[in-house]
Amino acid sequence: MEQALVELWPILLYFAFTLVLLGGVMLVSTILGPRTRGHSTHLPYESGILPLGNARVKFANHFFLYAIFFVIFDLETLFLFAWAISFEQVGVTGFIEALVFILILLIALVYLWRIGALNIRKRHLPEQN
Amino acid sequence: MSLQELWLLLPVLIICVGVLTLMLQAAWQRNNVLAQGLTVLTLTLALGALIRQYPTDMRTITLLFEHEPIGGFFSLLLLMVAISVALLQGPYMGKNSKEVAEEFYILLLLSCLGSILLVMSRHVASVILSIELMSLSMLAMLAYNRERKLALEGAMKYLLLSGAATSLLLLGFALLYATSGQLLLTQMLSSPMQLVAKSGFVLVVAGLAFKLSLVPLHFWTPDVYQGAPVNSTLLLTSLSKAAVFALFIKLILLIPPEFEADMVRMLSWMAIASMLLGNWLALQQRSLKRLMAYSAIAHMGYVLVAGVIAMGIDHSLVLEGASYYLLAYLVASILIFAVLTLLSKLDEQQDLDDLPQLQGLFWQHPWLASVMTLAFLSLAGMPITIGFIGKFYLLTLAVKLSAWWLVTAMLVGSAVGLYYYLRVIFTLFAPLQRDIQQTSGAYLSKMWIGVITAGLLLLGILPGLLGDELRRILAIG
Repeated sequence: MEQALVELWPILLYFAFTLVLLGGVMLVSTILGPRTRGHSTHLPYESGILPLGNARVKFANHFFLYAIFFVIFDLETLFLFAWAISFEQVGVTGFIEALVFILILLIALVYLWRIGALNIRKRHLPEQN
Repeated sequence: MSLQELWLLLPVLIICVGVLTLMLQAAWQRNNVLAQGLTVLTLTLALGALIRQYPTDMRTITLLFEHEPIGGFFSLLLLMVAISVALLQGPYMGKNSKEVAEEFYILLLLSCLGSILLVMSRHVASVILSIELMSLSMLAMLAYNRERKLALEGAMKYLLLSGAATSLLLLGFALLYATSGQLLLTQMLSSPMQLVAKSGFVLVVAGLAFKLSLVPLHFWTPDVYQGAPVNSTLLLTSLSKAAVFALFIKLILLIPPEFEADMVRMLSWMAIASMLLGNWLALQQRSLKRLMAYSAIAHMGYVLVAGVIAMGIDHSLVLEGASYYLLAYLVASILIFAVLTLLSKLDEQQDLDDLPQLQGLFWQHPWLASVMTLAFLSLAGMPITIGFIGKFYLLTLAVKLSAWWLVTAMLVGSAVGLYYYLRVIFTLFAPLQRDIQQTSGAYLSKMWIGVITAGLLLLGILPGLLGDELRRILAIG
């Protein structure tokens, strides 16, 4: 047990700090925070417009499409940047690997284009036969 | 990376090319049969490439992967599972399904890719990446029919809990890295272990135990199994378990000696609890998929016994026993789920799952019922099936180590297991109540089932056929 305490004290300390910090922030904000009780204080803030209807509606945002587009366009830049700054060192092998990488992303783009993911007005689901 | 290493990676590369081809095919012209054919072709080519250059010793492929016999054997099992799923998906889906076909095959190849890479991993980064590739693509397959409420619920549970388990795994590796400063698995575990490192290792074991659904972390199993389309359940119960177990046994064999006693105690309790609880909870199940889920928990307990013994005595015999048992389990699960798949349709709200629905299957479809009976007998460990030999291996090992608690739990578990396996078999032979529809055609899938059944019987009657070879295949001893 003693040995455990000796070895684990940084984690315990970290844990205690976290607790104190969280508790402290909540305590301070309850003590110092302003309190007003207007009739619309507890309405959600919607840039000055009164909220309309229930917020619990189901809608499909096809988040996976955003994820795939992010990978295709943003992460591609990221990896290609890393390749570009080490272009001299990695030589032909690196060039071929970058080509393969771009080819894979290109195939993904073709796939997305064909299932209609680039088409804003369409339901973003694969075409059904 | 040299050309030599690329050549060793050939099975993996073939699967990658297969994935890309399927994506192009989905973009160009959708066609169920073509997609299925391409998938089976890819997997067969990968299998051929793997057998062609089957590893006889350990060779590293870059920093991340290694090519070695145990991984090779498990890759063979994984490819067998993937081929079965691919062959069964065609008849399960039918010609005019509401869901799209190609994406299932893409996901199947991706999760197969992840599992093969997991088996080959030797570095923390590759372990995490491949385990996630495997489970994330499996996740989409678990909810493949979007109109089934239970499937969505199961997939959501799996997503949340498997995310939690992966974070445990990551935290564990982080603690191990913090103390050892190494990311290669062998080096990471070879440095002397302080308390922090030990707790890290326990967290890693917990993360893997979740994927294997060992007892304290088994709660997700029945719900996810029941909800998922039956073909995806097959993948979940065989592919991910086999691949994770390969990693598990690799890690266990690396434990430094001073930590062994503690781990033996912990894993023994997990194994005993899994065997007893899994079998006990399966007793009253009416849903076949839930029954298989609990049976999977129990069987993972049996395999864990091999892991526990591995730390006690010489490793080679244990590897042999564990591989054989896992093969037996995979074969039986493939057959049971294959029969269920042939009797169900993806588009329906429910699979054929309830036990009374199966009543009298033998009198209408004698072949399917016989296959299922054999598979259940094999799971129960009856002689002339491969399951008997698997259990025999494990019991011999446990007795050799004089691990009497484990032996007792195994025997009690098997006795209890026999009850509910026989209950299913009796239902199959009861008088026919209602018409049971099976998928017509699908001769290729049925032939494949026949081949696997033949294997189950052949290896049960002549265990030496594989038993003698297994040492050479695993290149041990």
